[in-house]
Formats: sequence, C-alpha cells, structure tokens
Amino acid sequence: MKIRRIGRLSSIVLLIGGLLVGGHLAATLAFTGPQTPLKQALQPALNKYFLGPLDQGWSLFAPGPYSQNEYFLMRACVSSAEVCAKGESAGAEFTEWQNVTQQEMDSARFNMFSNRESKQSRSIHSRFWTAAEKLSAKESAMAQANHIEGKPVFEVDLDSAEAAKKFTPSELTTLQNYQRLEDVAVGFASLKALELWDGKASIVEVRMRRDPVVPFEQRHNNVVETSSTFIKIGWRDVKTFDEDTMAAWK
Amino acid sequence: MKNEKIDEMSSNNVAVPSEDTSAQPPTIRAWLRSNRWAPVKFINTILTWFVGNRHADYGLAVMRISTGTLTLGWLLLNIPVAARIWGPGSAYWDGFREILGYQWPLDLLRNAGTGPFWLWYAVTIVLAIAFLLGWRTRIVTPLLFVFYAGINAQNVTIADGGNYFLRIMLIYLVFADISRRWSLDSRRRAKKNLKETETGTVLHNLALILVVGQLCLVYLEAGLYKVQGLLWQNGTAMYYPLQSDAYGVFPWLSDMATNFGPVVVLVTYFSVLIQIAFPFMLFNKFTRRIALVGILAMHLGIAVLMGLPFFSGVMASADAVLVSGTTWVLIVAWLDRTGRNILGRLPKAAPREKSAADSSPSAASPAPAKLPATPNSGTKKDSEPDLTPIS
Repeated sequence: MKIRRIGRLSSIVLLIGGLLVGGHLAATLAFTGPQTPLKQALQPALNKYFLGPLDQGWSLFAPGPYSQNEYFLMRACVSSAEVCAKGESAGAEFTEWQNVTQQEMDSARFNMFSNRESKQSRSIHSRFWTAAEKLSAKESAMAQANHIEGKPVFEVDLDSAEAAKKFTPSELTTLQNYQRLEDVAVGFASLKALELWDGKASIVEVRMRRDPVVPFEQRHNNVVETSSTFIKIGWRDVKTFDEDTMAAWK
Repeated sequence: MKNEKIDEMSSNNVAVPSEDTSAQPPTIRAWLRSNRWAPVKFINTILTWFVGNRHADYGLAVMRISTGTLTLGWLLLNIPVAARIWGPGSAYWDGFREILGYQWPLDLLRNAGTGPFWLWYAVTIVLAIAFLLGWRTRIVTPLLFVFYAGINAQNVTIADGGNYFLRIMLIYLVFADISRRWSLDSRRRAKKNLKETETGTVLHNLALILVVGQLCLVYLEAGLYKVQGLLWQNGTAMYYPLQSDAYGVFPWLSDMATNFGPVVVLVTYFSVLIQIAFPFMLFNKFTRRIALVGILAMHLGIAVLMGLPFFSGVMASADAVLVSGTTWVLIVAWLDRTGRNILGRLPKAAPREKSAADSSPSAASPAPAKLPATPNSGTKKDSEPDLTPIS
C-alpha cells in the first residue's frame, strides 16, 4: 500500500497551511480563553498577534450578564468661556442635564433593527467606567474636579518627560488610559452640545450613571428602589474639531 | 465443577476456540502486523479529504448569501448615521484608535474627509452586493474585508459580536471557494469549462477548518465563561439583560419571557449547555442535527428578545456550513416548490403569468431545485452535493 500522491505545491500548501491553521486556532483559544498560567506566559505575544483586525473576545454576557442600565449624562454652559468660568453668579447660563443614552434608546425601543447610533453613548460609558475604576482615590478626585482653560487633569501633560518622572510606568499607563477615554467622553459631549445648543456651549460636564436592574427575586414587586452609582467628569473645555466633523453633527 | 464441565465439553468434541492450537496467539507483534498499513490508510484518508473534494460548498454558498445580505442590510440601515458614527463625525475617537493597531489600509478612513468616506461606504455596499451574488469572489472577498474592517476600525466600541465574527470570517473566506454553488462565478466557470486546481481545493478545505474551528471555539468559550458566573449557575442570568433598557427591546415580551421562574432557569441552562456541548455534538450525525436546531433556536431568541438580529444572523449563517449539501438542496427545492405554489394560488391577473405558472414542471411535481453546473461537472461525483461537509 502506498501513500496517495498529490502535487508538490499542494503538499507544501497542506503542510504549511495545516501548521498555520492549527497554530492560529490554538492561539485563538489561548487569547480568548480564561486566564491561565499558560495564557499569562504567552500574553505579550498573543496581544501582538491579535492586535487589530484579529482582535476578539467571546465571553458574551459572562461570567456576569449585563445587569445594570448604563447612562451617559451631560450638560453645558452656553455662555462665553470667561463668563462660564465665573459661575452662575456672574450670569453664566447652564443647561439642564441631558440623558443622552435615554434619548438614543428611545429610538431603539420596539425596534429590532435600530441603527448603531443607539449604542454610542452606552459604549463610551462602559469603556470609560472600566478605565475610571482603575484610578486611585486621589486620582479619581482630581478627575472629578473642574479643569478648564486648558489645565491638565493630572497637573502635567501625560505624554511629557515630566509625567514620566512624576509617575511610575504602571501609574502612567493607568492615567493615560483614563485620559484617552475621558477625551472621548468630552469630545462626544462637545459634539452633542453642538447639536443640541447650536455651537453655543463653551464648557461641558459629564456624568456616567449606573442603575442596577431590579433583582430577579423582586421582579413581581411593584415598588422597588434601586440606587444609582455615578462617576463624574468635572467641567471641561468644549473640544474643537475640523469642519467635516462639525458638519456631520450639525 | 468448572473443570469438570470443560472436560465434558472436550470429550464431546465441542469446538472451543481457545483450544485451537493452529490459531496464532494474540500478540502485540501480530496486532502490529495486521495493522501495519493503518498509518498509511490514516494519511491517505486525510489527504483524500483535503484534495478529493471542496467540502461544504453548499453550506458556504448559504453562508455567503446570508452574510452578504446581512452586511448589505446593516450598511443600508446605518446610512443616516454613518457619517457620525464611522465617518468624520467620529473624530472624537481618534486618541483611542491610536492604540487599536489597525494599520494600512484599514486605517485609511481615520483622516478621510466627508467625500472619501462616502465613496468608501458606497464601494463597501457594492462589494457586499457582489459578495452575496458570488461575483468574482476571489477578488471581492479580500476587498470586502478591507472596506468593511476599515469602517469598523473607526468605531470599534459600537461593534457587536457579529461584527467581530464577520470580520474574522471574511479573512478565512478569502481562501475558500465560496462561489462554487449558487453564484455568478459558478455560471461563468461552467460556461468557460474552467478546471479546479488541487491547491485551491487544499486551501478551500483549510479555510473550512478555520470557519468550523472558530465557530466551535466561540460557542465553547461563551459556554465556559458562563458556567463561572453566579447568576448563570443559579439560573437567573437570562432575566437581567432582558430587563435592561439596552437589551429589552420589547418590554412586554421581556416581561412575559421572565415572568415564570422555571422558564427563566430552563432557558438559562439551555443556553449554557447547548454552547458547551456544541463542538462535541458535531461528531455524530444525529446529535449534530440537535445541536444545530438548538443553537438556531438560541439565536432566534437573541435576535428577537434582545434586539441583536445582526449578531444572531451572522453566527447562524456560519452554522450553515455544518448542514449537508443534500439538506440544502432539499430546503431550496422545498422553498422553490412552496414559492411556486403560493404564486399559483394568487389571483391570476395576467393570462401570460398564469400560463407560465401552470406550465412549470415544479408547480405540478416536487422536482428538486435546479442547480447550476459546477466547473468540473464532467464527473458524477463532482456534480453531486457534498453529503459530509465536516467529516
């Protein structure tokens, strides 16, 4: 009995391709699977391989299912930056709080085929919340304070040499991750303000709110009180964008 | 007593196999000799699987058509908000995009203006149409991946599991012959009598392994993560997302589905079990059918109750590769027959339409669906549907 003959090119493709397919599936299993010593050892290489279009995660509502309502709230000061900085006593005009998530979700209610904009503020909320939770109590207090007229949230520019001296590498990574997501949240609030108040806003304030879903055991109770949890971003300057960006929001 | 019985049997000349001195004793050497060709047979089985046929061609055609339709629908649905969420309006994500690792050409939209963005978006729509029709898929599939991934890279946080899964599938499908059946390519190949290459067949089957492997991996891991969660363990996990603002699309339906505790527990446990068991149930034809029906039911529930039709649709369309070619042919034949029957019962407004419907052979008899000829349809084997897509 002999081994079936196949073309040379096919043999090479089968051999190399088979190894690549096996390696890729094993790497995917390691990257997306639960934390193990093996995964920990391979993590840097896995991160490098899966960064970009191969990025994935399949925990899908696990280990904890989605069990809270996440809201993105914002308001703005629609006076000039100088007046806003001096506060209400100086005649600054502040808007009412807007629950952006609620507004987005109103369009998705009773609609299986709602567009992706209905997920926008909630997706910012969930990324921001994860980054903000990693801040220390002191850093968190700094983030919740007001920083306008270009003042950095953590007193220094986080990309500067000064920041590298002031913080340990791990602290700096945490702060940079937070700052990146805060910039997204403030940028989104700025564009939302442009849409809502026609470009009059000069500073914005953001709050992320979480309301737990009524526990399963109490689902038949007519009156159940749940308490909200907040993470706040103090007043920040409205971010400016180019004409194309502004045009998309007007 | 026992010895006496054996003696008795021997004296009566009853043949006892163990006493046959001419037979060789079962030794390891004898076993090795009788199985000396097993490794060769095993290698030949593998080689034949890889080069003998392009497996799951009907399943991949269904996956291509359904995925293409979903992508097209998704792109069209989001046209009113596309400029804000993926176009220039999404510039506030720019700092975050820097760390995502999307490189050229997938980051081309990052600094694109309104005009280039809409051009990119329109090309993606055209590519999705070409993909679902199976037109030049060897070129269209990689292009669709680039254009589709480029849009998603602009705002990854609003992508759901379906977007992630589709993006990965498109990479795998670049190597598969997804237009072998029910496509414009298959018509063209039949007309020109183009031959399939052996290397192409090997690549196709490797891609199929990737598709099925990824599918199994997704279900298995989703299930394994769930068993670690307390709310999944106590059987109430299904209740929470359905009662949230984000996923309870139809509040009255969510209330109805979560009203009775036992139903919630059963559905929660079913979701976990079907996902963990899925890869293992594929090894047997009977359990594979149960797995597919079960997982399809789960996806249907997710699509309707949680308002995630794109995610569910994309996952279910990949499951199509696990259904045999014969089944797909029968399903299409049934759909064809049913469609014609329904059309036949419609009020006959135009006499020309009436005569066309009545003279159709399918309207009168349950004929199988008409299949396009395959490029190498000269042999009977190649023109037959693939019965064992993953075995």
